[in-house]
Amino acid sequence: MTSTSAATIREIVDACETYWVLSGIPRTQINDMLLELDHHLHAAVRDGKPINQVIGDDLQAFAAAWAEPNRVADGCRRALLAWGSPGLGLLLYLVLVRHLRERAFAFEVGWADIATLAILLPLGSAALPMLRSSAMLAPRRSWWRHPWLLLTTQWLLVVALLVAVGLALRIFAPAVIFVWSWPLTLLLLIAASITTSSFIRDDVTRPEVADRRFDARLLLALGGASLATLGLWAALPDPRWVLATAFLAASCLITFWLQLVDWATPHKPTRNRLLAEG
Amino acid sequence: MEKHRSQLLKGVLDMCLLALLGKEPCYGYEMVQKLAASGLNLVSEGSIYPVLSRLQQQGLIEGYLVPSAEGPSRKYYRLLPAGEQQLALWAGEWADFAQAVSLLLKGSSDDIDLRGHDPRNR
Repeated sequence: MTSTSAATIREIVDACETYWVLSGIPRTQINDMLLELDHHLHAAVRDGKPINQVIGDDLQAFAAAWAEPNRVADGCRRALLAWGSPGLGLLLYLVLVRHLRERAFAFEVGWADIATLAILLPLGSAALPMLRSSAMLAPRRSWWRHPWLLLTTQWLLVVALLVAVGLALRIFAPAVIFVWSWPLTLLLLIAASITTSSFIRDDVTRPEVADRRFDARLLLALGGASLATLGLWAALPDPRWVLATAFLAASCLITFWLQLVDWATPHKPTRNRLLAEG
Repeated sequence: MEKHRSQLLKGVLDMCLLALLGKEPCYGYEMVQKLAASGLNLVSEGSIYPVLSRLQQQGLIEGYLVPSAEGPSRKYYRLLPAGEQQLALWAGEWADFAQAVSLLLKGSSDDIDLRGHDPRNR
């Protein structure tokens, strides 16, 4: 087998894994599916067959067809967590940005802030199917359909929309609705941590065994990055820089918080582990 | 011709896979090879996996991992008692269906012959 074939097989298997994880297929099932796919592709290439003969002309359609019978029905609790966890996480991120941008423990909330949430939350629900299709990194894809280019364009459009709506509302509806103070942020942090931890614990696609040493190193690196960006934010009080440094610091802090919650959430014993433990 | 044959196979793929597993446990690639050896080629070989997953969900077959000397473990499938019953049922239905289609095709080929003998066609 040539190295090109091996690389193509690796690429296809990786793309399918991403698609299946994003489709919510249980991890034990995904492992079996990857094993079968990898074996089939290698055997087909050894027998001189083109890869298209195994997966067809559309990799995404192939991955979707295989995912369909393996999908787990979402219960009420899971559906609630699937919406609640990213929703509260997003709210926490926006609140952090406001605290940092205004360098204050309390800030005023107006219609522009409500509009920002109203735009971002439905867009967040569209993110999963978008990510699923962007996972298909097949080499035959034309350059303008490259996932990173698509994601960047979509992100720029979202930012432009937010700025336009925000500016319009600040001019036409400048009234303050209420004042958000730091105890509310603390409550939000606790609620988001509990919801996200429950969501991670119930996540069927979560790997069965954690690499604790890697996770600890990642946690330290993210903690370091958060401190560094906070230092940058403190060192640059100029209004021209404050928005950029506030976004940067809030992004690092949220990523650090997510990794911390993941690290602190115990792994649920799955079917395979229960069988192995006898 | 080949594509049409593959489309026909798609409609009865679950039954063919059950029939193969009725003979002996197999893994995915082995099933594709056995189908090809019987003259049943699939346009997309990977299309057997969603069908196998569905049969497994229905409790007709089960999958199990077998360590392989050549590399990582292989996933084999075997027929379950419910699968044997289903196969017997489908085999009966298929016999009736195939007979009906054969009769229809035979009828149309007779019609073609008759048209050939029709004086108006001369």
